[in-house]
Amino acid sequence: MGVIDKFGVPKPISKILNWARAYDMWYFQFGLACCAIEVMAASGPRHDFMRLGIIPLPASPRQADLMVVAGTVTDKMAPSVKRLYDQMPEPKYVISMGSCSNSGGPYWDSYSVTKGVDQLIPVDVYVPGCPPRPEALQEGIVLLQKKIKGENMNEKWREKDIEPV
Amino acid sequence: MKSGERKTLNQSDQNEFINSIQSSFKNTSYNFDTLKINVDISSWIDTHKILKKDFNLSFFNWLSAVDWDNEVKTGDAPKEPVTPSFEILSCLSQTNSNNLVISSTVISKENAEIESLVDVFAGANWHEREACEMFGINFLNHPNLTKLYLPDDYEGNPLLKSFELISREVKPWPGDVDVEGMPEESIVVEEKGS
Amino acid sequence: MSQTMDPNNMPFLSEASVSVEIETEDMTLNIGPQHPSTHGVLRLVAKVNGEKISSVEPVLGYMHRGYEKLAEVRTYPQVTTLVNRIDWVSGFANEIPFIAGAEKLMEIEVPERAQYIRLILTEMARISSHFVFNGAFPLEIGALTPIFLAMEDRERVLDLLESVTGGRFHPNFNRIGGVKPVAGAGPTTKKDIQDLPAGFYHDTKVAMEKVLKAVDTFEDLIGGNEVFQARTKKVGILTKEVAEEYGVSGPILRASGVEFDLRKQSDYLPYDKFDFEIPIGENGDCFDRWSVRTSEMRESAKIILQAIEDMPSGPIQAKVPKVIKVPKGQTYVRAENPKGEMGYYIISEGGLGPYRLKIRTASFSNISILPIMLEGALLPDLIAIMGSLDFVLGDVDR
Repeated sequence: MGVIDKFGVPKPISKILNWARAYDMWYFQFGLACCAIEVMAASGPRHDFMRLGIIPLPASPRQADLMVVAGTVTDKMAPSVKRLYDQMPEPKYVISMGSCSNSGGPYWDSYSVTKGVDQLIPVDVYVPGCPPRPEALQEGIVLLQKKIKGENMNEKWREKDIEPV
Repeated sequence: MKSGERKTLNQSDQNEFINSIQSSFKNTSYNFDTLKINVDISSWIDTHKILKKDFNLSFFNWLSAVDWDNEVKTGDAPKEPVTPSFEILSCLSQTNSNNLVISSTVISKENAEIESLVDVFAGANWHEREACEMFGINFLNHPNLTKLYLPDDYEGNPLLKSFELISREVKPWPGDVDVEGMPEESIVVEEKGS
Repeated sequence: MSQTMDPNNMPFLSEASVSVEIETEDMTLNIGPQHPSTHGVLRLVAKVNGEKISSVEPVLGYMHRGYEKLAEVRTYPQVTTLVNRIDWVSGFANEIPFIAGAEKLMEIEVPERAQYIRLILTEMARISSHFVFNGAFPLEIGALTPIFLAMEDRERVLDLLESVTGGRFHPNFNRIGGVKPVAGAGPTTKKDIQDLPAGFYHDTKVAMEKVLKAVDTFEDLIGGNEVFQARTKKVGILTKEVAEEYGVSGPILRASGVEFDLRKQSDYLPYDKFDFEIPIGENGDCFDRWSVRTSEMRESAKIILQAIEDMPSGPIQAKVPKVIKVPKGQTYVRAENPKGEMGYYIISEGGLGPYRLKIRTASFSNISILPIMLEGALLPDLIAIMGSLDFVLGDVDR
């Protein structure tokens, strides 16, 4: 990869690779609470996010590209969230779905709820709502795809350790 | 089945049941459709045995506790002063009618111990574990009195009235603000300030 | 098809035995908290001896959000928002016992029309909850098709709920003394405010016909499936006595042959005005639990069709003070939720919020029998038994 390190990925190649990555994401279902039911609805026949290139149910986080944290993250659950995120290979993306995983939501003052999953893992797209409608999740996915398409792969891959834990 | 008939039948059954409970136990109350028996801590187990055997209350509904205290860190304090204590509540019901009994006993805060109900109702197991971690009440002869919900290293008993919700201390409850000012008003204030 | 495929009559299975006995050590198998079939974040620590489970210890608390504490620092209308989210597949039904309890303490008589609206929406919540079960349970034991059918038909019911309440499954629609008037449905001046949106009668009729059709489909497609029968019949048998001792309620209790349904026994909503039956199971196995729930959907649809026919007119809100203060008192109000008995023990000291709110949830008691049911079961049956209990982790951990 010496050449790419030095000169970067040529723009057309980067564009093609990004385009391919954006529309072929294995999505790791992290259904925690109410939002998980809306994820089910979004994967159901009416909303059907597979048409956006999201492929549900990988066998393990090690095969996933995208994690949707759907629901309340509690302090007891937090270590598992972190560990499963660490197991995903780079490049990886996170959508935080719903008020609870954005900021704690209705449980903002609870003694056992983590106030936002972004305290544990980096989040790319926040989807607001309690719970967000399936359409809102779809918009979050589209926004994430926009983000991926504009990425410079060289920068992204150089700054991080790409080995999964 | 005519609906009207069934209901009146139900009602008279229920009255009979309430009367029989009130005649067998000394300290009972019936308010807001809730029948409550107050028993002494020493007869806690026996009461449940009697209710299960003689009154056919074989359905174990729930068990929990209340922390009565005048100094509270969260919520409102009771308007009339109360003696600081724990009240243990259990709920038994029947599976062929709407009959339901709440038994209650009071234990002191210094010596928060009570005999476990697991031998009478096996279903009390998890409820007692919950009450133990939430209030710090010790259930004697319980088979496995470990934490149920919270992480093992969690300190404190959240449902105690002296337990503070720290997030609220850091940031006041946003719901307290009734109506936010209109955007135009805030602009005016800024102009005045500059 | 052939006689040998009848799961009730499979002689070769019972005759099969291993002739060599091998001494094996127990292995610990950890399932969850993040596992596709645990309905969220339940964790089971199972000790297995070969294919046999010798003991199971459920580990709870991964979804513990502290409702009982949070209720102490919120006012009564704010608590309604919270309790919606306890059992998240049937949000509307969770509000009913809490609101009914507060009304009981305040001694408010709820107008009949409001009660009918509550009843209709509760039954819709029950149907949508059982749709999720009918999708998820077969999925867990290997049938992929039903979930797509169930989700499609569930959307129709959610559309109705949304058209009335504005929320898909956390409606927060009940107010103390009645229900929320729907803004945007017809004239919105205060005098002329409406409660149900235009076209609700017709849409409900169409949707309920679809539900009835879907139930027929499920009974053919799922219940008539030989593989499904083989995996669920005579698996995970629960007896009446154990169920009662552990406080197991709802469809699970009824599948074990106990005819206990608070809709018939209690009077928290005017169910006595409608003609419906309570489906009862015989054996208390996984198949019965599935079939009780599926038949319940049909009964719920029947109730809704009757209720929209004789919906009374009149106000939807009783007169209540502007600032809701509940007088001193204690009451326990319970209701038949899709998962079982849900109740709230409200202790009020006359303040703006409850002094203590004990929440009795169905799933908590329902899964407390897991260690007993799974002891001695085969490992592949674990998922079937767990799935047939149809619990929701928010309902377990609160």
